Amino acid sequence: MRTLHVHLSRVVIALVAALLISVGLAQGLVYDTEVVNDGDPIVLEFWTPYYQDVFQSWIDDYQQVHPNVTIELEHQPWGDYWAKLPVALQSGRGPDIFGMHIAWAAQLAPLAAPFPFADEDLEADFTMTESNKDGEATKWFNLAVIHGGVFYDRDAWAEAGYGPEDEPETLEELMAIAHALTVREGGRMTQAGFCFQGVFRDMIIDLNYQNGLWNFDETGTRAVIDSDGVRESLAFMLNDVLGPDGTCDALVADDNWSGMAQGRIAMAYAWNWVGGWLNENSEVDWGWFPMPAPEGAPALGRNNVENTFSVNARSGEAEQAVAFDFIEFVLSSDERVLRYVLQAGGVPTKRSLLDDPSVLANPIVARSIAEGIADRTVYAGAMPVSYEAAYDRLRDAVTLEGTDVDTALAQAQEVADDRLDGSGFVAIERSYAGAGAFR
Amino acid sequence: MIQPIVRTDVQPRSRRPARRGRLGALEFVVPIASGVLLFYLVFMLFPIVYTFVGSFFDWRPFQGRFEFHGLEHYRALLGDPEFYRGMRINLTFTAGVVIARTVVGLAIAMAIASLRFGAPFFRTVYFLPVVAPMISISLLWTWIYDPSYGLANQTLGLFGLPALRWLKDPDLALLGIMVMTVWKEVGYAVVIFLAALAGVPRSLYEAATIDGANAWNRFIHVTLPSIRPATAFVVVTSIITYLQTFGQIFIMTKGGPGTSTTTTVYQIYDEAFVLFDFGTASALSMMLFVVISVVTIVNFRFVSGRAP
Repeated sequence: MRTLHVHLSRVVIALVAALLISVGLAQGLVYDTEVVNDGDPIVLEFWTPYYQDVFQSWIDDYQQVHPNVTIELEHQPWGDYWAKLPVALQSGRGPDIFGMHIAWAAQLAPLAAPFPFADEDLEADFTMTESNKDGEATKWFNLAVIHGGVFYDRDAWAEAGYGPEDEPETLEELMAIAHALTVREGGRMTQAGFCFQGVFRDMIIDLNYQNGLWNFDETGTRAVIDSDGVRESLAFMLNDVLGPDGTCDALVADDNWSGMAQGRIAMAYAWNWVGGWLNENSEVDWGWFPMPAPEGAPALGRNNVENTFSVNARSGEAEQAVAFDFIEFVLSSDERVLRYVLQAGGVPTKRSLLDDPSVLANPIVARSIAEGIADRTVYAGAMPVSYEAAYDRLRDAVTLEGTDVDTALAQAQEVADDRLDGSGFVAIERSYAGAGAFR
Repeated sequence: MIQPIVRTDVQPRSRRPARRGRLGALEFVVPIASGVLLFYLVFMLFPIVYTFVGSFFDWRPFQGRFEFHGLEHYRALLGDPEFYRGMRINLTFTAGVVIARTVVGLAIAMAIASLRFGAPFFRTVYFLPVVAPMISISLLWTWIYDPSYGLANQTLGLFGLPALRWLKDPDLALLGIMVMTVWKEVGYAVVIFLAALAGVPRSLYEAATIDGANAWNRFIHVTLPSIRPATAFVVVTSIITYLQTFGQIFIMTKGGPGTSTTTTVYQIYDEAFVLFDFGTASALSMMLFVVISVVTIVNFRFVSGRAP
């Protein structure tokens, strides 16, 4: 008995020691580089279509620590960037560092160099590290998780006699408020009560998840568009929202955020980042609540990740080494990552920032963290931008061309099948924690 | 006896001509012509040949694919309704803009030519949009066409007419882009026709008047035949240009709403720079090249009355 006790004690001590050692080894990223490139001057080129102010601030910090390094940041328009960048990288003349977005991962991942950091160190500091990977290699880094919800104009609500206590919990309640907020003058809609302009695809995908429906088949390689579930979601969107007595009109605005900024949309389904955009580009006093879902809904919708940048796999060894050092310099600093998170308006993936007062000052993020909203959204993977064309086709067919729903769904399914075929994309939506409740 | 005059100030001729200036004008022409030829080979012929070759391959550079595909791209395109729709939109756009540019351009030119004063001013005014960048004009007209606050609907409202969706309406979007294009480019035709009209001898008009021809008869039987080369030039260059229209569609509608303004050129852009399928894009380019060539030859013969 005594021998058994001693033996067990030794096993326990060994296990505790192993745990302590593993925690000690996976200590996260620690930046302690004193000299890069042996102190010799080196110039790196960095292209980005967004977050240029944040990236420039990181560059300025880094160049202060390493004066021999010059990183030249070039901001390019969004649309042109995604056409120019792959061509430049493929030709071998692209930038050493380039801004990344998950929707273009299929084209850009083969051209990006894997990060040299240990998975354990990244996982110690960050959540959702699986979303940074191309296969087994980490090739970009997301610092914020964003998802959809409903923005509302507080002034328009107050005018209609509503306050924060009237926040709807069901679609029916949402539409009741929306109808009360919808204003028509001389046959024209001058204020839309509720819209989903510019986010047609995201609306359908979110409604599907709320109804316990997967957006991809079991293999994860085929989108499910021509289905009864999508018909159901589409019926709500086309009849209740866009119908003759609906709460939105295609003429009101091209997209929700512009419409809200111009005072033409009182409530809009949109993603987190719109909050920051409205703060910078409008005087709207906005509020936010999660998209109402049916009782017992297995998910509130989808989430996505805001990526930072990647390193050109065809850059020189010296350039790549400095680029990775720059990335480690950024990721290891709470203060630098915080700048990005505040700009993105999402839930930080860096664990140490989850209770940061600046982060919690964003009402969407504070609520998302407090109520676990982000945890109730599904990450489907790096959905390629090319397959968005299927939903664009569906939207145009049913809203502009008067195509019947069955035909439009069949056409959209064809487009999705064509665009995803050979893309290499495999959806990981079924790894969602609440997958068991899905149909 | 008359003594011959002997000049003593003339230098004796050497037996061989001086080396300098031996080739004469060729010394300038050959290098310039070589440069032009090299430019043409590198920037025009080589890309065309490369595109032609690429059209027979499954060419997706970002997936590292360049595999022989034979005629598959062409077969797929010829069986694709989207291809025919794009070509139909392309041809509709081209026909409408070419006709409008030619007719309106000639009408404006004749009006300016009849002015006793102020002709240079009006010539300049009509030509100004031609030199403005297409992107700027496209953005400006996108605002003009805005359904909510655009100038177009504000103007309709003044006359009590209902607002239109313009670029948001699949039935109006292409027409809207055509109107903008004609507005911007008509000045070029005006200038060409003004020069042509200036070259028509007044004596022809006088003779026609004496023979009892009215204004319309003079226009049909004197003016039009006299300016036929200019008309052919305007029509043919317009066809070649507008069959390749891209900029204004990219800025104003991105091929939408739906596919109502998706021309073949826009499809080429979509295949190459959105889907990164260079093989299909190359095949589309080749087919457009054939169409442009055929349409150009046919129109040249029709308008000018002789082969190009």
